[in-house]
Amino acid sequence: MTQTAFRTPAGLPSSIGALRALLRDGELTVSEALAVQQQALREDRWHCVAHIPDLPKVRQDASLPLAGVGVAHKDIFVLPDRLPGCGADGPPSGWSARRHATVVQRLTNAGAPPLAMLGMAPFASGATAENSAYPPMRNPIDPVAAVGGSSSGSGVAVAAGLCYASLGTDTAGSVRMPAATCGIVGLKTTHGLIPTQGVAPLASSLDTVGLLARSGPDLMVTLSCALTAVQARKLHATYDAAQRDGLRIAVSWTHANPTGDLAPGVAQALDSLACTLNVPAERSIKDLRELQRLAEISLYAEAASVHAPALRANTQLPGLVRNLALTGATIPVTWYLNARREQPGRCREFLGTALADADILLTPALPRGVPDSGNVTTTSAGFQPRELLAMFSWMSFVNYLGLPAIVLPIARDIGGRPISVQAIARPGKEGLLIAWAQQIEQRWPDAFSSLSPSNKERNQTCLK
Amino acid sequence: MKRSPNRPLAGVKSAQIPYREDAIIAALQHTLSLQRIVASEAECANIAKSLRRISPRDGDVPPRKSA
Repeated sequence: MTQTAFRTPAGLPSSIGALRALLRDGELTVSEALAVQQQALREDRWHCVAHIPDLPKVRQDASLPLAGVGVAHKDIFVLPDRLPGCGADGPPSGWSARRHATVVQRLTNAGAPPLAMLGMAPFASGATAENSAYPPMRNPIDPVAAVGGSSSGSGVAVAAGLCYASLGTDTAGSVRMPAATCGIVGLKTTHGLIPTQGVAPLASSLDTVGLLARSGPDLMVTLSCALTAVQARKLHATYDAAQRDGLRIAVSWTHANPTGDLAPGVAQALDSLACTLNVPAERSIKDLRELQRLAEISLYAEAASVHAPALRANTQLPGLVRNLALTGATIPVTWYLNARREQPGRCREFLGTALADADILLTPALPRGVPDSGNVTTTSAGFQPRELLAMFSWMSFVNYLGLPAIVLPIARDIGGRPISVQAIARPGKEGLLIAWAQQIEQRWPDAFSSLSPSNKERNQTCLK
Repeated sequence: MKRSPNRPLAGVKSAQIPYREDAIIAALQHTLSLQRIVASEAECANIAKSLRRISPRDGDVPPRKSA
């Protein structure tokens, strides 16, 4: 794998497998590995770190699957001794966490305690890293490029090599958009697969815990540890079956809404992918615009429920969050109930049409590619609302349907920014998505090399 | 359509018929006030825009019965 030749800012190999080999050979102890990685996070130059917790005492058992592996997570997870900042001053007013986050605890038990909590859009409401409370976050691939949100710190930290994997949450693309802008892999899991206990909510019927990593293998080992033993066995079985039997692939590049139209460079990269994979004719997603609408209704209404105490108390809320919650507070209850009632049928229909005779469906991720930060920052003079809407256009319907989806880079545009694709599968079939990501990675390693010399040089030049 | 301050929803027949922005804003402020939420006119104008974008398509809105 190309990546293992390069080093992270902590001076460690860039893949989990290579780091584990180093630990096995006794060249480094688990506690030394964690300490140097946390120090690199302290020296963060991309403004992605929100909080550095004390390094907890973990078992020094180097045989644990993630022993010594640095992870850092979106600042939305409750830690045993800390409530999340949620990109603001704390979790939503009126929300009380009964316990710390189960999923963070699972990774800690596997040897990977959180080394840092990462910046995010306020209350997970935003397609970008925009957050007036913090210095602007910088994209490690290109400082002028936007960083997708709302798990923006996760995208940046993983792409910069500050950690090997990161937990985020995805309510309308919040794991996949940062991954797509930073040229890494982002997995939105099946709704409910990973418990959301100890995770500050945005919209419970859509909220999903997801993971970001630099490669399929890194994602696979981290996800395995984030699941129960039974779920992990199923994940591996699905993954192995995909590697053994291959995958049936379908594509859908055309959106019913003009905001989902493809930029020429993106269209060319996706067509080239479909051609290489010898995919049969493109199929359309039935009622895509309607699915998007139902997702939005659910998001607005449930976000209003979360932020109602703050609205009533007239507590200061960031602009985007207040707009979201106010709109949700006026949505007719019949719209919301219809959206929820229709969900199972809509999901069945999607599986029976868009995924008929196919294991995965490929769609664009960011139809216009990675925009300039100024074009999608609402307070910027160059703000273009349609560019911001375009970022969501292929994302939110997946959350409404509750399906797993992965985003991964397949090419670079002429400016070196990643062009990504999204793959969607049936519920519980994350193993297929990761297996496919790994195949693509092996075929086009250059698209994945966020720590490649060329990018490192570019970063150093731009960040001087 | 003439303005009628005493009948803020006058002229609002259904989502398909052009309506008066000020009446919609008043209705939204009233809806929010019932939930003890205060919102400015500018905020309600934004809400109206979002609601129009996600309102059900043709056939989903039952026709308003005439008096």
